[in-house]
Amino acid sequence: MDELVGTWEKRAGPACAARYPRTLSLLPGGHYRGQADAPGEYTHWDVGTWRVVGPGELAVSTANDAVRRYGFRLDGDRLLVRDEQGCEFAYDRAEVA
Amino acid sequence: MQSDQLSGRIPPLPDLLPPAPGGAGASAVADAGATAADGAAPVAAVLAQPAASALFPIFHAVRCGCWLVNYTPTGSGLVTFDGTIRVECHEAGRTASGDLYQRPFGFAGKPPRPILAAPPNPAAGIPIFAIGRYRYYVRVTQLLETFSIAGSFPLGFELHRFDATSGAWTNEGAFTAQMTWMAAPGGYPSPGQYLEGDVRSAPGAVVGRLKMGWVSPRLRKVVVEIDTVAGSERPVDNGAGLGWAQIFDAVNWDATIHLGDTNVTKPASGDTWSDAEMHAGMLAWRETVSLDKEWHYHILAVPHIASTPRGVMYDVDGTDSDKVPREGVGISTHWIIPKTSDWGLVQGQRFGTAAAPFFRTAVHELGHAFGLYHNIVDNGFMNTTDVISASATAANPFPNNIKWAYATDDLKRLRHYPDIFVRPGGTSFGTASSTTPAIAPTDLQAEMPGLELAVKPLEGEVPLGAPVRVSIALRNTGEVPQRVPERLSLKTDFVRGWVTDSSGSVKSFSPVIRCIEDKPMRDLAPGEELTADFTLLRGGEGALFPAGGLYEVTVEVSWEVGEAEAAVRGAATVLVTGAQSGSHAAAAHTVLATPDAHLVLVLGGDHLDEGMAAIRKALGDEVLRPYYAVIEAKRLAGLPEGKSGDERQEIEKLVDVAVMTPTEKSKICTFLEDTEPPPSKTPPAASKSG
Repeated sequence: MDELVGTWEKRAGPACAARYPRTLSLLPGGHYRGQADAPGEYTHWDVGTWRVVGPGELAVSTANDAVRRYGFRLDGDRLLVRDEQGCEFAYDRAEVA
Repeated sequence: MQSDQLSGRIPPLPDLLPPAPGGAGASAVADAGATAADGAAPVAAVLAQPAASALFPIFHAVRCGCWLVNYTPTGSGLVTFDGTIRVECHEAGRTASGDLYQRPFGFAGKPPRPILAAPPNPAAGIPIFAIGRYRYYVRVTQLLETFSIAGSFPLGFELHRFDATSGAWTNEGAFTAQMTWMAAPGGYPSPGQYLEGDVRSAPGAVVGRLKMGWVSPRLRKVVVEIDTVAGSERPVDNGAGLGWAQIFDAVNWDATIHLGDTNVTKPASGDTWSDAEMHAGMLAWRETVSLDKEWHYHILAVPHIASTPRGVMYDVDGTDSDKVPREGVGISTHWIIPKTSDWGLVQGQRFGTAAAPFFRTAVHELGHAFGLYHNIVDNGFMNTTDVISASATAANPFPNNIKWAYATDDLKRLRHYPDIFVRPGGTSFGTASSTTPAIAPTDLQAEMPGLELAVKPLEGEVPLGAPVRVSIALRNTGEVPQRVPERLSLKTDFVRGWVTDSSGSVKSFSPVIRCIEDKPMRDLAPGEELTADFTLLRGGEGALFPAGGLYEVTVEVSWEVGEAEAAVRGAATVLVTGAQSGSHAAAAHTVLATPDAHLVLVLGGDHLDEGMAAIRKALGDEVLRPYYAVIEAKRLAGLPEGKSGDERQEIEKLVDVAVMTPTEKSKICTFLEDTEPPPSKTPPAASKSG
């Protein structure tokens, strides 16, 4: 779980990934913050909780408070995610200033 | 987490309108908007006014609360908008916004003439309008802030038009109206609070007339129904004297809390409810409601929720069984709060018995149903329980650190968001919907009670690349004859439609050619129906069914009645199945990528080389051949040699496998009956000479 902690920037992806935040901050205590493409816009992951629930599987609370399962794979500094509808998208670890 | 202006997708909320410099300087407290004659104006403010020429001047102010509004643009007696303007009073000034819905009209008399429906009754308080009539958000930019001894004041506002098809907003510009106090017509609860004025565009031209009368000290009106499973608690208060009444008082909404059933049962066994089961439970146990007449929200308390520990606004999209978003929320009562320090004073408790966090979660989920998102600016209602509990300290443990209020920016949203984002059945949570509510008709379009349009696909499932054949029936279900078009066809101006895919993308179709110059009408007797069928492949925005999946085909029949337009709509779904073979995929690809294939469908003829080549490729594929066979049969029938033996036999072969509409079948049968069947194989020349 620790390896996922940090700030992530979304890579260009399919249209189905538009609802996921541009910047995702996975905090150590199991909380997260998401920021949409334009500040203040709706994003499916806005504020909530996250945890690894199994090998390659994340549980993330969403904007309507439903907790959803996501497949994930960590490939170096790239986090690959697949949602329940099969939409696949990726984040790169943000460089630390 | 959100701004008031979401990248142009929604109109900006109104600014606070502070008192003008040198004005009366009165603080506009809770209900300081009434005229002095109403006894609500602060005395100090009244005394601060300069003396007027009249011996006993009347001091006017715009009263806080909800005003019933009518806006009628110049030029059409049939287009008029009713709505509300909400005037919120602060110590620093006022904020105002409104929404306009087009008043429906129908037809009466013989010959039928369009007539407007009755206006809302001001005596009924805050009016509720049909969702499908939503048209404008009114962003007030200028308003009388304090008091005036003049009989009028300038009202400035922007009109933002909502397009329900795309969910987009268009700012139609800035307008002003010199509003003058008048005696209110009958029915208004505050006779002194009624205004009228001509509306002028920015260049100064009169573009309409605005009328507004005060109807309520509250801003919006809702009903919240709470149903529970047996053994689950009702969320009614925080255990410390704060309940729903105080919640809605703070927002200044008129709320009716209906404590409903306490014995809701689950359709399947188990104590854990899925989102779909809660939605089904809401529909089964909720009072009979019309969201066009009541903003009715539903809370269902259940032991456990599958998708979340505590609560969820499960009704996110208009894609569930009733296609209505943001009607209901669920809250769990039997979740056990973890025994960790984060959870402070309630750790280890069953959620339904922990009144404070339990009630807070109900308010939070209802906030989502009102269109609000998470908001972490404080520990108010729209922050998450997890964040609040994590921020607790030993000195201020959870749930004592809950702020029992909406954040200031959320309060503004609740008071001034466009109706369509707040009311249940408006746009989907998180985004303006492209499919819900249904496509808004034009301003001059009237619905036609007593007429129904049934739409039925010839086949409910068709392979990718095949045209979709649809039958329609316009039926008079009323008790009096209705004047309707004499003939329905995609070759007339009377019929058009659109296809919506599962993502909400809409593509329209309309006549490719128009064969009728005049528009003959006829009377459709009660119980009688008028039928037609047509074949859909392509519309103005490209292939109508470009990929496998579920599509909704909506057909609209419309015709002119005087300056207005009557319209009847119907819809049906079609499932397009995926490619079944390499040959099928290639043929479908060619047909879908060749615009002229559609013209061959409509016009026939050999001159459209690319279209013909695409059709031939489809005919060469065993999956698509039945769907294009009748087109080839018609083409052959139209050739000079079509009546010959060989061609005729080819036509008969095609007809044997063809998927045809009744009209296509009738035409082909007529052709075959009109030509002599060859007793034996006859040379073409002999047939021609016969």
